Amino acid sequence: MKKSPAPHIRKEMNVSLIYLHVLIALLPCAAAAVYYYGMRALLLLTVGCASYVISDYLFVQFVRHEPYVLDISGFVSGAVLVLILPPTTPILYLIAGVFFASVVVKQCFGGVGCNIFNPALAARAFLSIAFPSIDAGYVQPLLSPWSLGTLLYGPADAVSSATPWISRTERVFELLSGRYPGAIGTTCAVAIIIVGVYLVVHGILRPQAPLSYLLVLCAGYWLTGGTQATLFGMFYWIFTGGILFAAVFVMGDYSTTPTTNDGRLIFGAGAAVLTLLIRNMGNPSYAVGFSVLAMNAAVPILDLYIRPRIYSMPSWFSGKKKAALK
Amino acid sequence: MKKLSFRKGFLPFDGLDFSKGRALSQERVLEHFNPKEVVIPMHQSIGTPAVPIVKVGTLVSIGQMIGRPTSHISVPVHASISGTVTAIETIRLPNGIESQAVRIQNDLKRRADDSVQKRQSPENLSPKDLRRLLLFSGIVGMGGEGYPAAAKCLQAAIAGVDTLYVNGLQSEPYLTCDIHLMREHADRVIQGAIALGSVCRVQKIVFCLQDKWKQEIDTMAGALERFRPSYPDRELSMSVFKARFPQGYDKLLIKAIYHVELTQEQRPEETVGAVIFNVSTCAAFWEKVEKNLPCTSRVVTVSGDKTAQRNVLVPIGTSVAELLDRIPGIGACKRIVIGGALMGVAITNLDTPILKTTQGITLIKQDDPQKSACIHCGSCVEACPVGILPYLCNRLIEISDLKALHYESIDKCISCGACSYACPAGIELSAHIARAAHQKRKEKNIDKNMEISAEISAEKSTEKSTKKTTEKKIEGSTIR
Repeated sequence: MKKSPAPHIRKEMNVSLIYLHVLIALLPCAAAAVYYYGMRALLLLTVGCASYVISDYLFVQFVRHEPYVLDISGFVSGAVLVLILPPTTPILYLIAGVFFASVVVKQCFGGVGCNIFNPALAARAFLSIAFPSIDAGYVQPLLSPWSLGTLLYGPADAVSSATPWISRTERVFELLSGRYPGAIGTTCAVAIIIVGVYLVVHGILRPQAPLSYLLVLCAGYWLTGGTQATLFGMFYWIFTGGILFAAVFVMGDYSTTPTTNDGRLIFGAGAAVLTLLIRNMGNPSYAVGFSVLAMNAAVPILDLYIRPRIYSMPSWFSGKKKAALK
Repeated sequence: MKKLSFRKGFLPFDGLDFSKGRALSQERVLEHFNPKEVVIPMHQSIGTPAVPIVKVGTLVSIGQMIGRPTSHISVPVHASISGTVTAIETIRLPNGIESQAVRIQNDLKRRADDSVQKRQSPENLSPKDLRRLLLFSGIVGMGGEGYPAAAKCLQAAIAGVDTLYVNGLQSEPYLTCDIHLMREHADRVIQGAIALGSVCRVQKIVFCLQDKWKQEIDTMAGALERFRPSYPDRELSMSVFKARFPQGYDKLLIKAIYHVELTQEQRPEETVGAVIFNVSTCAAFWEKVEKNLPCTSRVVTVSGDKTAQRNVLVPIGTSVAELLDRIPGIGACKRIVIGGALMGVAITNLDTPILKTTQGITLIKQDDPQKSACIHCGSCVEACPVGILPYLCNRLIEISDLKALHYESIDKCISCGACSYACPAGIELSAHIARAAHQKRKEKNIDKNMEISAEISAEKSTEKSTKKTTEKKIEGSTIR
């Protein structure tokens, strides 16, 4: 017989299982990446995940002097970082980014659950600033002789791939399937929407932040678009630029999003407003990454001030005010 | 029928998903149980313990008083089996209190005391007679609260309550002893509640049930229809609640009905004019009224995460080991818990006796959770019914930042265990926070005493300047 404090039963959910679900959810995006960019995407994914876990292991073992427990979050962060990079990123740059994400962003802040910024996004921003040349590396998908698509169906027609947006129906198809130049794994909208639903159904992804992010972005599109705004334009606006991918995999990251539902709504809305500002006035290729990173920095404040009302107290603010006035 | 529940901030808790798919309501068997020996503790309620009035070697019979109450918040203790007193010893109860206990060897004759007789017309007793019966019945709040029923009735009558709620919500997983009583002995529960109602001088009696017990709701509704004609002056009704975890907690019950939030110090009698009794308490009182049998046994659920459900009528004082020995189909388990799986106490000593407040014994076979660091997922925040941030409090306790912890209102914690249950990282949130909350409540009381003494000294002093400084002192103590 064992003595232990109450409660004596637990929900059948643990941290490894959560990250395993996220890893499973990343598979369709990775599959799309391999389909469009072939062996290069597979190589980048392998190197990204492996180097992330190795870097975590080395830091924990030799700097913190703690026994290392394999945590799947390393694979998740590594894979997310690779999937938001351009397909021609050199391996060395990737390893530099992984090192930055693992050591500087995650481990230096205390490891899993203690990081303030999303490691993958922070590393992407770091790479953009340190090696600006990688941002010119977006290429047409299905051009490489080694991509799964060309291996299966033969090389793509050079004419159609050079001018991808011919007819309206084809544009819709391209938009959903992700067959246009972009980051490795963020273009395939269908795959991302399906895994988003999968994560929400399994209770891993809390839908508040992604939904408020997308809704505010849509509202922003109609407000800023004026008379030229169309329904297709709206979907083009939110399906490109990695917005969907960020909504599912970055806003679903627990450590860098608020813990309360109201906080998550504000987080999503704030990120959307910043994205709109940067897209319209700044460099559109930085819009999603930097706006989410800025909101990451606001999470501790959101956690502290947006909280549920405490039982038998009027509200958290007034309780605090009273205590301060005394 | 409109379903009641506590609202926003009190998020749903799927504390019942582990019993899903198992037909619990079909597996209930009631057995009467005759142990070889019982150990009856004198301290089974809130308040002062009873004093044993028997000596070693005394021959006792069922229902004979063996412990005399010592104050008005104290209950008499009765022998639950017939036999000889073999020892009067000091034992430690599961909640950590040391208490005197009377050990009785069973003679297996089941001899009842002379006073235990069937009453001719129990319905016609006057409130005064009923109050006297309640006073000598030894009944306490059998939902686990342990407040003497007689004292509660007296307070309710003084406060002038208008409604009596019969709490049959039993929201802890696996426990079904109250549900069982309502299903098999609805008459006893209803008549007991009506009798308690006349002691408290209330007309309106409301039975509270969870919506998932459909069969029991039908049974109770039928029984209420039968009793309405014989008690024309009483308003008997039933409320259905949503099945959620800490719904059985009386303050959340009041919140669901009246939308009033009671603090730790407030009692529902004075604040909203309602008095709450447990189903088991009502049934036990009807035993006393009908047969003049005091509280000598209770229905105990024996169940667990991998054990079939069983409800057994157990004499008070039976040891857990003896009870488990007699029940077939209990394999090895990791933990034996007195009470429910979420709020109960794990015991290592199997000689612990069953008390009047023991609702059940839960056998846990589930492994310890896999422990990892907090990932800031917010599951605990969603689960907490009082709206504190368990992960933040736990972190502050870890780094012992008492100043920041002071603003976190952890003294509101009802230690329901919802946060620990929901935590995917297996952190003992509930245990840590409950300990800190206990300490904070203690400190608060010390603060209050200091304030009172400061006020007294301020009144005594005639000089204005000294008054000002003491006032400043009072302010300083509240800021801290």
